[in-house]
Amino acid sequence: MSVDVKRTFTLDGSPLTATEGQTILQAMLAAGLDFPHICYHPALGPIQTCDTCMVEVDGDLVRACATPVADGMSVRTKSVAARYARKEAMDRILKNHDLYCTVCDNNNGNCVVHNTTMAMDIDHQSYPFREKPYEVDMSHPFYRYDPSQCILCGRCVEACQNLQVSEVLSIDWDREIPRVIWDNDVPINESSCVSCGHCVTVCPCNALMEKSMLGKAGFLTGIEPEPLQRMIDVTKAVEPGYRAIFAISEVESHMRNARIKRTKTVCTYCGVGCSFDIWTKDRDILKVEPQMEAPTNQISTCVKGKFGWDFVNSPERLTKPLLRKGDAFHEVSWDEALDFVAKRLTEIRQQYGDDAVALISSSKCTNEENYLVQKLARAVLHTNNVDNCSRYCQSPATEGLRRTMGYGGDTGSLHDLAIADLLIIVGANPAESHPVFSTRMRRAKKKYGQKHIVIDLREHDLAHRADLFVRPNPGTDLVLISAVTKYIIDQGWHDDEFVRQHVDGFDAFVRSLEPYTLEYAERVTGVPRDTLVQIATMIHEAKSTCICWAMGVTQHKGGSETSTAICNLLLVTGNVGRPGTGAYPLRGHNNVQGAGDMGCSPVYMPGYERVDDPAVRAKYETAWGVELPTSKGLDNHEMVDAIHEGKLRALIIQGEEMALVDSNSHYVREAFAKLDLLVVIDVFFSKTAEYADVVLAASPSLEKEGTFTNTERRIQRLYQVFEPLGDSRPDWIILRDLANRLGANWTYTHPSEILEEIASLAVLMQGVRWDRLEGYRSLQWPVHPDGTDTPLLYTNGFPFPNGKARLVPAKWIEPTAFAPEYDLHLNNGRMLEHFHEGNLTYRVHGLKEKVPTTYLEVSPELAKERGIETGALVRIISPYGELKLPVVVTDRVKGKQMYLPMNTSNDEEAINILTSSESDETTHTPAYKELQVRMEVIRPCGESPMTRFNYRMHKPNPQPGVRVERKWSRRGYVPVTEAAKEKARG
Amino acid sequence: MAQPIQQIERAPRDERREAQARVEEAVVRSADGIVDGLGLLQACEEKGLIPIVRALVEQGDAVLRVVVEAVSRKGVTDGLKNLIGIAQFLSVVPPEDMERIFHAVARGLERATEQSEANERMGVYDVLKALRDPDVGRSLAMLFAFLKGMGSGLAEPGESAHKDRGPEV
Repeated sequence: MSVDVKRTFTLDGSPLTATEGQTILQAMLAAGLDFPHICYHPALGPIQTCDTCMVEVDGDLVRACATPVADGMSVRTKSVAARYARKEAMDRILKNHDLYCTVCDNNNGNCVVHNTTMAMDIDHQSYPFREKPYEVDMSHPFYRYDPSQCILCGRCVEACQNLQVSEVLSIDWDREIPRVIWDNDVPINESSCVSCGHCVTVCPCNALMEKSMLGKAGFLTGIEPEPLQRMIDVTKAVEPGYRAIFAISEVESHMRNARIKRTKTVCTYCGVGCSFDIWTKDRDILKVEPQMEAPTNQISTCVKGKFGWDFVNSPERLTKPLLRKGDAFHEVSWDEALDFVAKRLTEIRQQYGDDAVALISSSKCTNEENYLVQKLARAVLHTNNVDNCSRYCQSPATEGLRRTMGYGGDTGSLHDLAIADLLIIVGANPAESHPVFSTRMRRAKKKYGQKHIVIDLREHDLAHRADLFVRPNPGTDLVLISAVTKYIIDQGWHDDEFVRQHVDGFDAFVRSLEPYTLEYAERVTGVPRDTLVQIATMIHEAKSTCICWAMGVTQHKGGSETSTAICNLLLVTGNVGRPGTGAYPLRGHNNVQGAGDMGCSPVYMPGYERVDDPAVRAKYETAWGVELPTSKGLDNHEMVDAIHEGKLRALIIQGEEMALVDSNSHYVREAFAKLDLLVVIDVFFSKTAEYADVVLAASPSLEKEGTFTNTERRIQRLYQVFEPLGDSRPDWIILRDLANRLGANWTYTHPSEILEEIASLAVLMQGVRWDRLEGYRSLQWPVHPDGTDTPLLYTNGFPFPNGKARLVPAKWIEPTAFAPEYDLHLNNGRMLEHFHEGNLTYRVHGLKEKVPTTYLEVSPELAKERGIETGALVRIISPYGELKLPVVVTDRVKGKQMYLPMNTSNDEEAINILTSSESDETTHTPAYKELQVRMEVIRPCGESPMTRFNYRMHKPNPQPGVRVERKWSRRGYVPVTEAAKEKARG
Repeated sequence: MAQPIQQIERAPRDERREAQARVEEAVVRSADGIVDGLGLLQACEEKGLIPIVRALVEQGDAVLRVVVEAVSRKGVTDGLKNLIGIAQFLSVVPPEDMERIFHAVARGLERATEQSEANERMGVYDVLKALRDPDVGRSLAMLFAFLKGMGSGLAEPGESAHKDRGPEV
């Protein structure tokens, strides 16, 4: 391994070792030495714009950030020439940056420019500061750019071009006074900026800042602009040098620590599991600051994680339990609400039996809370009627993985996706649904030449950039994948040795592929056979392949089957159990993985141990001191049917907006209306809550402790940022107090006690401990008793009795048929700015400004055929309901296929008013993606539902990076080394 | 059987009661501090400090404007700058040298006073004779060294006088 090669060099006469490929600066930092540097950032690498890290190597002045260490190299940091060069570099930076630290909102101990100036002990600057002739750009709702404070280090550009890879920012070096520009130099809010916040996070000073910080972070920064400017002027006029200024600003910065709280939390907006510090002052959120130690995302975020938290202070938050009395809900005390629920549950169980009660847990809640939901169901209410919302998304993927490989989770980590040779993305839109995952994919492609195959109906961001973008007919992915698999085996391209050693069932599997010839596949999928061959060839030629998939695969009648086919393909090509390979069903919500792991499922106890296994039941009966139910439980889908049949009488729903997110909403809502008791635990008064008898006011993630498990099977702790708002309570307390009213005698006083109980029972979690998850530490299950975790699965075989994986023949299930009058296909999914039905994100002002509503995407062909254009209003009708939707004409969709983002709580626009009750045959995940509709035009044109603040309206400006060579070739540019030499000569 | 309803009857919030509860809780938690604090408050009141502080805080923005206005006049900023300059000057002189020079100056003053009391006139020859005195010679040597140093200091450009404005980036 190249990493083990050591290089030895001398630094100011002392020996130092570096690893292969490390630069001088990296070696110094790795050795714990402090050395000036501003533009270098560990997540971005050398940018070479600031020149503050100049050193002398064998007589030459070079940048330490960009010069690789060589054996025997002699590095001098203290030579006169190197010192002059660094001082010259800093002088040029300070010409571009006004040091008014004490009254600057970025003076929080982590300002790189401030700290470097101070560390270099700079007392005077040689070139006076001058403002740049540009206005501050305040147009964006979440951040500002102040050109006059910008030192043109290009960190933001590098982050935008090569880490986030949205390719919006660049430095225009050709101007007399350069600046950062957005797209082709437009206001930030009218650019293709996706508001991910990378640029703001990496800015080494206050040029790019979160607006939520302005005037709030410092003690003196809230002063009105005019006296503030005068104070800055006075300070600068009087101060004879910077040392004194720094002493004062240091004191002020330390004082800020007294009132700004920095708390680590884990994001709740998707399954990626970003973790970051959140800065607060009382109940104000000042900013989200991601950290390099964050195991999944490091400094990356998306717009929701970086800027989408204001909902916690919404005046619409539920702050007290609500009890239905007559035609209205009344705020009541917790005692009254919980006593009522306990009494009604007991009555219903006495009258109709234990299985007349069901519980649905939440993928937004913690592992500990999910564990308590299933424990409440099984140990207290004596029923296996418990499920969670993974039923709506990734249950089919879990099923496919468990059948073939053994564990129901991603086989590796984001790191594996980043280092793979080839990525195949099927029915997933990571750029909008798993934004931080998509950053690593785009980066791997742009910087390291990773190949991408995207199989999708819609030309989303990654499809647009892919090496090969394939648009099969809706619902035919299984045929496509099976034909590719068959072709690979027919060519002898499969990994014969891997299959012989690690995989069972090859012969039967090969026989099952017989129908999937290229001709057949071309006919069914509409994908030309040459393209199928091309896919097979790309897999064959790649040293490592990962396949990512999501709802485009799973939300079909054959979701489990297609997931199985994907796993089979990976197994026969040996793309499992090695770095850079594997299966990645991208989980949609922050704790979908955890909700399943915790046993919120009718058939599984925690850790996927089967309920129908007597040994498992016996283990839990001993631990919990109760007898467990043996009757078969209902999943979400079956619960709705059981309500209609009159068998299920009471339902407790924790944090799920089922009235909007389950398919065929009308049918679901009719069911709710039939219940004897509906208890909803939520943060807001949701559509589902309208049907409730009791609504219990819950506290969101920022107001409690616990753990989440992301799509990488990574368990991470969240810390409490705020006290619960009003009388709201964390779900684990609500569940505990309800259980105790039903005679449970639960004594938990902190989520850590619940986690220890889980670890003591679920084999998968044996080594999980609260203290092993401290700070940014995390564990990827399975976790062994000594705390060793498993970032990459199956390196030592598969968890089946003989240690081998299983090829499971998958059968093609044709998508749901509709009457011919429903002539248009309607696809649905997410958009970047909003989450789920939008109960949280539409309450964040800036997000609503960016994207105020959902809209129907119609292809240019269809628009022409129907005589409509962007801004038209149409009625969309399915056999189950109808919607009234504003239209956006876009070539992201093709022909008679349309697309509707699901992110709305408006019944006139919500997709599930239209969807059917059809579902995956094995797991009952609704077939949301199998929907044919017809269209009636209400109004052929009108105002576009997309505002000009929507990034989709604008064109990015791709660049290789900051292009520092353009700076170097500017007329009149003198390298700092030259300037320093002149000065050294005097 | 529950039809969907949206009406929520919020329990009227007794804000007075809530505020009282918060204050009571705080009083119990920080009893010692509050008693001490009250003592301090009383002392301030007796010295007439409270009305001044109150007026300052209440008129904060206006006062700040006046202060900044006053302070930012050139005379004042120059004065402040000179003050800081003097402080800086004193901070660069090694204290032991300073002590020696002060000591020597004191002796010189002593002799000068004696001389003026005697009220004697010095002729040209007296001056030449005095130049040969080693004590006078030491003083003159020091004076010349001082003039040399000050002259070379004057030759250096002042920090604020730099002509070079540097490259744009």
